[in-house]
Amino acid sequence: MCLAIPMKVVQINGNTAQVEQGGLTRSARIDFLPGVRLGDYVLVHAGIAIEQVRPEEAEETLRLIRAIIDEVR
Amino acid sequence: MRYVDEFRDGILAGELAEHIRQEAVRPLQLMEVCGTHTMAIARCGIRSLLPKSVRLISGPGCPVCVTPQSQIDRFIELGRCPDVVLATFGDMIRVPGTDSNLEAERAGGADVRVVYSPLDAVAIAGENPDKRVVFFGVGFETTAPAVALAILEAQRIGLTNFYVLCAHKLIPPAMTALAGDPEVAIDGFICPGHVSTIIGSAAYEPVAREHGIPCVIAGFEPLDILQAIHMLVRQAVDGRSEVEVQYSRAVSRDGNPAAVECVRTVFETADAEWRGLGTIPGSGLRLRTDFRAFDASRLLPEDSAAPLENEACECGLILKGLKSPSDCGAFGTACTPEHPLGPCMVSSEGACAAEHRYSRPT
Amino acid sequence: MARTRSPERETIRWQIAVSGTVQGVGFRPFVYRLAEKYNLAGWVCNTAAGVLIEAEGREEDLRGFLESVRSEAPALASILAVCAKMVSPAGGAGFIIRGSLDDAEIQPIVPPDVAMCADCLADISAPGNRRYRYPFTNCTNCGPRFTIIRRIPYDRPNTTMHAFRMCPECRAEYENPMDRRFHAQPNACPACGPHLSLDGKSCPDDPEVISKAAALLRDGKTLAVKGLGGYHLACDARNTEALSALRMRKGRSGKPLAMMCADLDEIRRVCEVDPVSEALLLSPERPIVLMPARPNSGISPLVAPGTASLGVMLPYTPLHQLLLAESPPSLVMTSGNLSEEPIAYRDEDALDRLGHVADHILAHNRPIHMACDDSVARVHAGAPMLIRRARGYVPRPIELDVSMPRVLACGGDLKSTFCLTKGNLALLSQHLGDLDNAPTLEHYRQSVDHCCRFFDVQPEVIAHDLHPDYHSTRYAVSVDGCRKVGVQHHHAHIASCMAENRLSGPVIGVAFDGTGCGTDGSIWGGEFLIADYDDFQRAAHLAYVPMPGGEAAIRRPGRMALAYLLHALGPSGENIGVEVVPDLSPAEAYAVRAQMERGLNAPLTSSIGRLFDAVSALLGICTDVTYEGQAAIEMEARALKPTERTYDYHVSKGASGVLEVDVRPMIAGIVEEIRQGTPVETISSTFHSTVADIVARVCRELRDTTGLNRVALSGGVFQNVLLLGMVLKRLNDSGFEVFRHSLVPCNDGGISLGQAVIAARRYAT
Repeated sequence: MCLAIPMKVVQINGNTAQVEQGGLTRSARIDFLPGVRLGDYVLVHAGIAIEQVRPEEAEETLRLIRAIIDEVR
Repeated sequence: MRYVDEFRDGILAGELAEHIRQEAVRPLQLMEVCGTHTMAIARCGIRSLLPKSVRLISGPGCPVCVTPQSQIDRFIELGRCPDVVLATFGDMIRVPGTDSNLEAERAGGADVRVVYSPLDAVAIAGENPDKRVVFFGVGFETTAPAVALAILEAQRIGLTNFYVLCAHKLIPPAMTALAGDPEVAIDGFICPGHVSTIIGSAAYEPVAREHGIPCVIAGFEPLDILQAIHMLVRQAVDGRSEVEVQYSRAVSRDGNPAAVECVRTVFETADAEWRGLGTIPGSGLRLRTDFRAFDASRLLPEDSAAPLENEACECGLILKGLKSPSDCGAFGTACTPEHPLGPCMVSSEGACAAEHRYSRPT
Repeated sequence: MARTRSPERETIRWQIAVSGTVQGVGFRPFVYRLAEKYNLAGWVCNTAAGVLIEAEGREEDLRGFLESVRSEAPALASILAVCAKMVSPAGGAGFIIRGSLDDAEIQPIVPPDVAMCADCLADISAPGNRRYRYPFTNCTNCGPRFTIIRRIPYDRPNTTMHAFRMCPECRAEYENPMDRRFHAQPNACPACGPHLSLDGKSCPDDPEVISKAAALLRDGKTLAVKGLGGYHLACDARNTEALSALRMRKGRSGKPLAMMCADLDEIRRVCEVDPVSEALLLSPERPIVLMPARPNSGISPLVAPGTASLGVMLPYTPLHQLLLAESPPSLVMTSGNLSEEPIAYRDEDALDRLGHVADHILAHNRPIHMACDDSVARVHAGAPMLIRRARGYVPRPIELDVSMPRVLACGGDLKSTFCLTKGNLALLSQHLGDLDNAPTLEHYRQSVDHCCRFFDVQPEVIAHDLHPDYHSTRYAVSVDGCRKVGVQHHHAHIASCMAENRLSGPVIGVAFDGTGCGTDGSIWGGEFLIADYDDFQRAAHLAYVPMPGGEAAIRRPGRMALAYLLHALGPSGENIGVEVVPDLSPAEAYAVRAQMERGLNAPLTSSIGRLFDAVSALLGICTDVTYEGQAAIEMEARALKPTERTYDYHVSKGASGVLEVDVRPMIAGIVEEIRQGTPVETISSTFHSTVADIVARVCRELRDTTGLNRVALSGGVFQNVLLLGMVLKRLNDSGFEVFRHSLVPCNDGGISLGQAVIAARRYAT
């Protein structure tokens, strides 16, 4: 139900964007993401883009995971 | 897939699990309240990676599962009228009502259409002015903004034949109710990922503060879930009860204000009945009076009386985390995905469907 | 610019199905007026299931309308369920009453006949009124229903009024929603409706016919009068000569005859009327009510010989009202039949059977389709109890707590009724009479067929009494293709009381009656059962005593008295019997003793009814029984007033743990007092008190062993209000929760209900 995969914005027409992932393109409303730009990754749920994926945060999360693993046990 | 594959690294997962094993020095019961988490945990075999001391229980995270039977009956009742088209998300199709389900209704001649987005239902209404299109508004805070947008869209184009039967529910009030339930022992919440993109992590602060339960918002890949569990274990061991965000690439403290505002324009909070949990105050949404014209419940003469639930069905206890699917006497025998007795087996995200698919010994 | 839609202007359409007693009670006009008030379009019509409505309008108006339908229905309607659902809007304007639809699923709710209302009384009394002195006046709120309906839905073409075409004025009333006769199916007036006839000569001038008939009654003649549910035989209740002739011709030497009085004042002159009885007398059901008779009122002792009560009713149709206005103010108005035959209701049959009983026949040309006796009720402790359930009550169903399979329960043989079940409703038939004569049995069979068709119930299960020789049992067994369930007589009595009171779970059942087949082959009748709907356990009973001569002991209660004397006092009882019991010759006494010694034709009985007979005969009150219960009824009449005094008796545990009540000490005590010259009234009271004491004592012992605190009372013996009062007091004082019958008779007229619920349970498992 809460399924939303990160998809890349490839076209913007007013309040609708074309988003693409793994060769699949679909349209999504972007009314809730006023600052979104081409090339951004967004989470799309039920035809609406609900949030942008923040790349620097993604990096930070991976870094934290590696840090835990490297901790002396 | 970008922002997905990186978080599926099996080797890192194994190592994270080892750290959890070391740090979980006392038994902990952690509850997740998101159907997608339920599925992900089952699919990735997370439980098999965890030590015995860390027990994962599945709470009422599947909106399909917690929709009361009476609501399904009402939606079915609407569909029995010849000029009505029912539009719904696919996972509602086989959920049992008192004596029918949408699939059976469709076979019997009702016009039932599966849609991916509520905006598709608005389109159907626009294309069929002689029909009344009723959309079944089932879902948590992730979905409500889409439905609100659809209603505003219908209003903008002046449709008079589009309706929503609103069964939306809110997660934090349910978490509060469970935290306060003496029967249920929770040492930490794995909070939903995408609900939180909308409502923000601040929404869980009352639960953490007033009930002293650690909350971590998790993503959906194996590394996300394991990291979140690790964060919860650390909080428990340290004696903290805070709200932390594991899924920081998508969730902020404030969430998405535009989406929240849209929902507030169209809906107001109301008490709601959760299957298995009873009525939880302030845990649901209903259309505001300004949007009554789109409210499908106006069309129906009365609230149906509480219907009789199948006696063998233990979905209620499973939703509270008091029983696991294999504890249910009907699991795998009278109740299977092909012949479900209750919603936990029907919905693809239900605890029973997940276990049946991924863990049942063959 | 956003175009907003105003929900206030949008219309929604709902279909509303109402079930219950909603036909023939002015329901459609009521709905029509509501629809006008709430500005709704659509229609209402009768269906076989009740009333169906489609209404379209604004949401708030629809909700208000639905609420009003639920809560403001006309007084005579009794709604079982209102189910509403959404349907497609149809547009349109205006609300209409449509012709009836025939539905597949027939609900068996047909209204009972309703006594004439105050408005119709005003109509027939007002000289300027079109219906002045018209005997067939009726309206939406009163008149014939059950007795004239041939088929449902309840519409004029389906009643016996179909042959009468309404005149323009009547039709205008019938079609005017604001008129009291809107859709009153039996609507009629002197110009277009039925008319009276006297001795076969029809006459359009009804008032003249009535005056002639009244004159004949004043002259001491007996008239057969065709009423609502059948013919009555009527004559002046103060005319002993007329009554003597009537009794002789009718073949009833002892049984009390019912009366009809012109008004409440006359009733107060002849009876003591308490407020509850008064309410019953004036009710729409208007039954015969048993009340204490006032001495010296002039009513002939032949009306109700040997009893202290009179059964009286008020006029319930305009015909009776007009007749009683000119005739003697108190008339005997007894069922038009010979002895125990069914009430006559077909004209040729009446002429045939009553032609030599009555001097004249006052009839009319509105056919009666379903024969129905008057109901008989009694008031006890401020609550009504029906002794005979018929006109005015039937066919109102009894609501049960569970849904039943389709059961036909055949009842007993005396005062018989049958019971059909459908869904959670039990339909008790009207009183049909004693089945031991061919015409009544035929009437019973026809009624079963008619009701099954009428209510569309094809039984899956047939329940019957265990007695193999009951006509009702034989009938049950002869029906093909249904599962048969035999139900013990007294278990059925208790189950009937439980069903009427909507009890579940085991109770202590006290079943006291004259006779009922027991599971051990004996004749039971003084039983304490631990019972629920599934099963029963015989926990206690009156100790067995032989019934010398079987049936003969019922007709000649002296034989029963002798049986008890021998049982209590040994061989010396024989002489005592001859000494004490009037009309018991030494020869008969000897024959009785011989029968008992050899065990020939002397079945054992535990019946309380027979005990009453025995004591009644001992006291010299009744030695020949000409109607059921006569000995006990006459003894009740002689008892003075409640007392706490009791005779001795023993309660002991027999083999198999069942308690037995041994009343030999009581018999000895009674004999002692008779010899001492104690007044009969005193002995009778003390006897009643002892029986009540037995009930309380045994119930307390059973409570000790079972922990049960609820007692259900049933069986014909509890028609005795003196006994009932004493039993209730003692049980209540002992802290029991006591349940008894009120709308279902406690006599054998009620067992079909008990049989039905027991058979339904057995069928389900």
